[in-house]
Amino acid sequence: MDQSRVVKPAGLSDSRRSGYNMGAAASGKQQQLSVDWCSVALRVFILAATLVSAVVMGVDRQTTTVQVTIADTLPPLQVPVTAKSSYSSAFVYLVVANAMACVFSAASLAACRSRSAVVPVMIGDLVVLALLFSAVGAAAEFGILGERGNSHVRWGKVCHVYGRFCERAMAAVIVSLIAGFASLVNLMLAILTLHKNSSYY
Amino acid sequence: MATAEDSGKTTLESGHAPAASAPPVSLFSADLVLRLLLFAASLSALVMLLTAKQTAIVSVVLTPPFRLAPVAAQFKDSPALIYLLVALCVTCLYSLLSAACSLKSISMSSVCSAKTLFLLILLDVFYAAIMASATGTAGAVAWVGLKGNSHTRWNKICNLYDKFCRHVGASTFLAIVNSLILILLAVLNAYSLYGRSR
Repeated sequence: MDQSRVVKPAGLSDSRRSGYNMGAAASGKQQQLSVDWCSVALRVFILAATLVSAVVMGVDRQTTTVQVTIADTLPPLQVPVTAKSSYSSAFVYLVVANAMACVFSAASLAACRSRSAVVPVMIGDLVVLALLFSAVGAAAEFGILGERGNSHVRWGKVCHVYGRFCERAMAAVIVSLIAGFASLVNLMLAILTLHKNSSYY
Repeated sequence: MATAEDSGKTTLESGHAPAASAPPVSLFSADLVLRLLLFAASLSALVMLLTAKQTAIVSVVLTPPFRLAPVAAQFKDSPALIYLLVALCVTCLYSLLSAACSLKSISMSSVCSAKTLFLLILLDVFYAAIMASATGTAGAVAWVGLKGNSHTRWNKICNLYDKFCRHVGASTFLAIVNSLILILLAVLNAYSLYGRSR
């Protein structure tokens, strides 16, 4: 049990252990990690996907005209109506969460070589994962309400009026969902690396 | 066995590096406590969601000959709340199973416990994602129910179904707590795995 620590002298073990905690005290070889290209590629993909999703959802807007009949004798009125993503709190949440994920993945790309940033980056990854998935859930639920409505509480569907708006919102949600899954895979690969580096592997 | 040995090592090494050798100590007990907390939170959220049922008198015909009728609101009316129910059920089951695993791995050899730890982190991350998406979904529908949306002409319903809304709100809040606990568990176990890295 625990052979690597038994074999090594205590002083070496201590310097190694304090090395990754303080960072500066360790030698130059331990401060920098070798770059994991798989993780870098996944992070670049997450950066691009969240950016695309936030931009698509942020600029999503459509104006259509609907016919309103006031009385049978009068001709129907053409009323222009506009749908914007800022009208719905769930879509705003999706934009904000995607922007945060984008900023974080840029920061984690910048910090991927420093040894002392492994644990903060992993915690940030977890938080971003939860943010992305909850935002996707909220926006998808809002989209489903718009697509189908809810007859029990008499919320009518709106997507037959705003067709293009709904398609773009759906595209943004799907891209964001793919980014969330990429983040999940990235996190699991990071945990696998951690497990392989552990002394019990 | 692993914790006993690690704590013994801690007292040996504490003279040299008191802060560094902290992680492997008694993380399994903290892990176990968090998992039991997760079980309690998910079970109470389940109970809150299942008991959310209210009948209110609303007008079923909106044109001038108004007709009033009792209409029941329950969680089955919204697909989002059904999703939340399923996610809570799965998390509740997982918390029990993983608590058993965590309890068992205290008495295992450290190689076995490291493998259990690794699998538990992967599952923790997975369930954190599920719980977060369920929370987002239920939160969105609860928010529309609470505030309404004037742009799409969705009226708020929480002034009618106040008890129902309180139950759904409490359940959503507990779902947030659940996902926070799962993230905390993943961080804790990842830190403990990181403390063993070469």
